Amino acid sequence: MYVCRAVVSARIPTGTAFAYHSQERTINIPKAEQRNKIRGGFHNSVTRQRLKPTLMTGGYGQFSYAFNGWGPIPIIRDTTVLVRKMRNQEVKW
Amino acid sequence: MDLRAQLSMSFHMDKCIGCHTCSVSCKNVWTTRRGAEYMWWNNVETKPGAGYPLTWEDQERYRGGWEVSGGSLRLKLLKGPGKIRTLANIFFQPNLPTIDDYYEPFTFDYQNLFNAPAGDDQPVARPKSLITGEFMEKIVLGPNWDDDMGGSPLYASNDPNLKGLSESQKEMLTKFHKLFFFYLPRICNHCLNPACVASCPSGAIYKRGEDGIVLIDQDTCRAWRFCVSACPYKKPYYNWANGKSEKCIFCYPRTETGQANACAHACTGRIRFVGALFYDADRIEDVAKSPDERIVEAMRDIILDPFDPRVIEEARKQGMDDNWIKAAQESPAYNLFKKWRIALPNHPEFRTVPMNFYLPPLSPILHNAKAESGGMFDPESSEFFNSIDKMRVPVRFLANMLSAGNEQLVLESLKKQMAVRMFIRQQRVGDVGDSAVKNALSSVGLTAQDCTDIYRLVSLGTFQERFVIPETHREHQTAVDPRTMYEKRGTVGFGAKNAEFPRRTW
Repeated sequence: MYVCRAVVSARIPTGTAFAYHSQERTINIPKAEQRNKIRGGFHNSVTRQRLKPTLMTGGYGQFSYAFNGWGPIPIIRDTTVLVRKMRNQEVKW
Repeated sequence: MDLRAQLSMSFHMDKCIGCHTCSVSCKNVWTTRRGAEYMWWNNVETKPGAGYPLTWEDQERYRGGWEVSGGSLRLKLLKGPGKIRTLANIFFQPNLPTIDDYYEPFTFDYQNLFNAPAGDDQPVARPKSLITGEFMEKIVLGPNWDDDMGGSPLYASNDPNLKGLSESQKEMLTKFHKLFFFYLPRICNHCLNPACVASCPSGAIYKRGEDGIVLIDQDTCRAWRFCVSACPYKKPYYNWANGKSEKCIFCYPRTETGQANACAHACTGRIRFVGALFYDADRIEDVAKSPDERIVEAMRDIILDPFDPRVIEEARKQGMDDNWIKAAQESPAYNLFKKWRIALPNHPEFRTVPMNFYLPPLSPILHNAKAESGGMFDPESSEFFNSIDKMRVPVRFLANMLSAGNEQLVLESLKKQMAVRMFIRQQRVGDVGDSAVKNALSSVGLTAQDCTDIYRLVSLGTFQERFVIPETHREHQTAVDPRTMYEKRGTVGFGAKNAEFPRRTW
């Protein structure tokens, strides 16, 4: 689980939210209200996959990218995004 | 004819990806000094958007540029009898943008990442104001905030260019799938009728006759900041640390030696073209006074044909070197703006006769040209070519920005760009049909050679083709006697030419 700031944009359809798998957490990121003393943001991919060398040979689609899956045997990378307003608007560093 | 030369930059907005490499290279070269942190001599804006400084295009608010009043041209800033008004306002200028209209420049406390004491979580680099040196709780504005905020209607709806758009067109700003945006890179326009030059009470600003670059003499500047108010593009900036105004210098130390400007050189999308133009300085006032619907044509008229023997003779008479004449003949600026008529000036209605030009961006056609193909580009449809006015980016919006509201000029440019695409597609893929291409070319008035040349320049253009910058030959130029500079205060100070005291218009 990780916490981050949300941005409202007309470029995203109504009722949709998306989150990047890796979020800034070193620069300009205050502590997250939800996580008690832990900063917002996230540096690791939500799911990681190691490439299997035997799958990297040959001419088939070993690098299959999609929004939700990566690699020859995709791991589902669904993320649940919950948007809510901070209870306390005061920023803690 | 009073022939002068001008260096001009053109921007292909279709190719700008908003990466800000231009802005960053400009900043690294020129404005990393104290007091200059908030300045972006080159900036890139997201359109529609409020811009930098906020709503700079709204001259009801900033009163920049010129207006025709009683048949003569006068600065909008100085309504009423000029000199008295200047005096009355010299210590008080209500139309100046404040630092809140630009943004509070900031850096981050990177040292804390190394020096922080042990704590509950990893350390963070907090934002720090470059004006007060204090930590900032929240960054609320930046030089392209419209983009950082993902095109929120809060910012986009403030765009002054949305004037005259229908309600349904404005609604598109908030509708996913119909939303449009593109990028507008901006530097100083090095205008032919610069409002900054005319407004300076100290006469510190001058336009060089030999290459048209507008500069602020840092010794003469007395920080009245009239240039900041008078420039409708808000491109002179006040340096609060040394009390002088500064602006884009068109990288003259580079262009004088034939090198490309820092912004243009760095451009990853290769959207920028730099070239020389010859113009007739006798007609500047007439051009600046032209009615809105004619002003772009008037600007095209004032640019002289560098192949005309009379023009070449006049250029030689002015002591211009052959390399300038040759550069003017190969100039991408001349070709894009005058020969092919596909580039347009930014806000010509400000009447400063700006000398940078923009190719308006193409965008998907909105209506269902062919429903089964999803309403996307369908080159076989007869409507494909004729429905440019239904493009996602409203032509009205582009016209407000690039042609003083003249939609025909924007349509002409878009249709020509489309015709070039069809021509090249027919050559490369062959699925458009010769007759369709022929019709398209004849309806926009381009020849096959023109199409090949446009494609060559905007798609394949090498460094030497995109930047045709003649070196300045100082050794051949009449040296300017520094003592005469004093006499030239209060005039527009055209470079090395003698007997040149253009009439002050206020």
